[in-house]
Amino acid sequence: MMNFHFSPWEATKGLEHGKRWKSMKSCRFRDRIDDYLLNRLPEDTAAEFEEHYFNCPACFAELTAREEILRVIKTGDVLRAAPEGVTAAAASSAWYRRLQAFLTPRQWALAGAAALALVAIAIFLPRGGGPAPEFLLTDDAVRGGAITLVFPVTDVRTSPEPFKWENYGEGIEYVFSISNHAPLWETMTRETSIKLPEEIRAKLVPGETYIWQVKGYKKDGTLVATSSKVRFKVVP
Amino acid sequence: MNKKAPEIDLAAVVAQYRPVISFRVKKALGSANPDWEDVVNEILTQAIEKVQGGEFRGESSIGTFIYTIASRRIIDYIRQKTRVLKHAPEPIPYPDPHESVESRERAEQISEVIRHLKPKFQKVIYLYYYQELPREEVARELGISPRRVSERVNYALKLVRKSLRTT
Repeated sequence: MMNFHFSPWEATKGLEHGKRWKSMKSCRFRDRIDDYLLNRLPEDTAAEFEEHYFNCPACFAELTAREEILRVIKTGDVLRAAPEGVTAAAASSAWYRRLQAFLTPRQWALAGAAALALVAIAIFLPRGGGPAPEFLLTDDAVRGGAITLVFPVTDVRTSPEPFKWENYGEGIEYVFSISNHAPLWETMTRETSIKLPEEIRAKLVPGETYIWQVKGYKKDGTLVATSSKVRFKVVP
Repeated sequence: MNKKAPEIDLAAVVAQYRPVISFRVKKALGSANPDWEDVVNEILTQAIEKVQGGEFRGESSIGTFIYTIASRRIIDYIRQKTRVLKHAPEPIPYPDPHESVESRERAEQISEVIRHLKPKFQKVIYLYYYQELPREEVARELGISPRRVSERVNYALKLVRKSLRTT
């Protein structure tokens, strides 16, 4: 049996450049808590902060307290509508900012052209086709971005080949999963598309509803983005 | 001369680090992942075995030692997920009912406090946390200084915590 002379937080003596951890107000890591919870820290800074909160009970207490509040704010109804006095521009600027950072001017032009093409298709497409695609919102409280699924997002005539989604950034590892009433298959890839193995494709029964989803992880394993769960059927 | 291994209270280490490791694992894998508790237990088991095996020599803190084990295990877990799961479907996750009731009550309390905050605090919380705008943009939108944004955020958080403590 080990001796009982060394409590875990005592271990932080001698760390932090030779100082014991200090009170929360004087900890230099305090300002990183919100950015860490909102996945805004660069990878190395996040790792440094993670190592820190393993050693600093004050920061960990603050982190968990803020996480609980943040979870309520992000997933509850309390602030779903903008409080009075917040301009619509501010309410939507978060999305705009993310998009702006993501797209170059050339990509913006392409996105505009694609939007026009979609409008044209919507106008000229014959009405009363297949059933509308169904989407399920994910249960995960992910405060990162969203991965956009590209194909399939509606019912298909043959087993989808391949499944496609939009790139979320450099170095992201994607976990792809497909299920119906139980998980069918899950795999990881760095690509933005995937083909089902033959034995899994053979399991897709026409008329049955399937759900697929993609989650994005950073190299250190942190979940940074998730897609909606999209349902589709293989039309008999 | 060989450095003597520090004496460690393993029971205290487990009690103290289980929540820290749980937080890190849930952040990395998502709290809806049914495997997160298993991963936490594996990390703690590994840490205990390594300490008992003399691998922890006190060159870093015990926190850093456990953090390193946790980070490696999380990366391994993600890599293992490349395996086909057809022979081992994941169980449907179900929450601990006691934990759920307690956390639901706390969530309701937090919502109530936020709902009754003065508008100036509500706006700052909405823009900073819900919309995830940087502090400077929140400041521009509300016509106040970034420092004042931080003050309002901190004050609102203080009120929420105070209400949780008093009930």
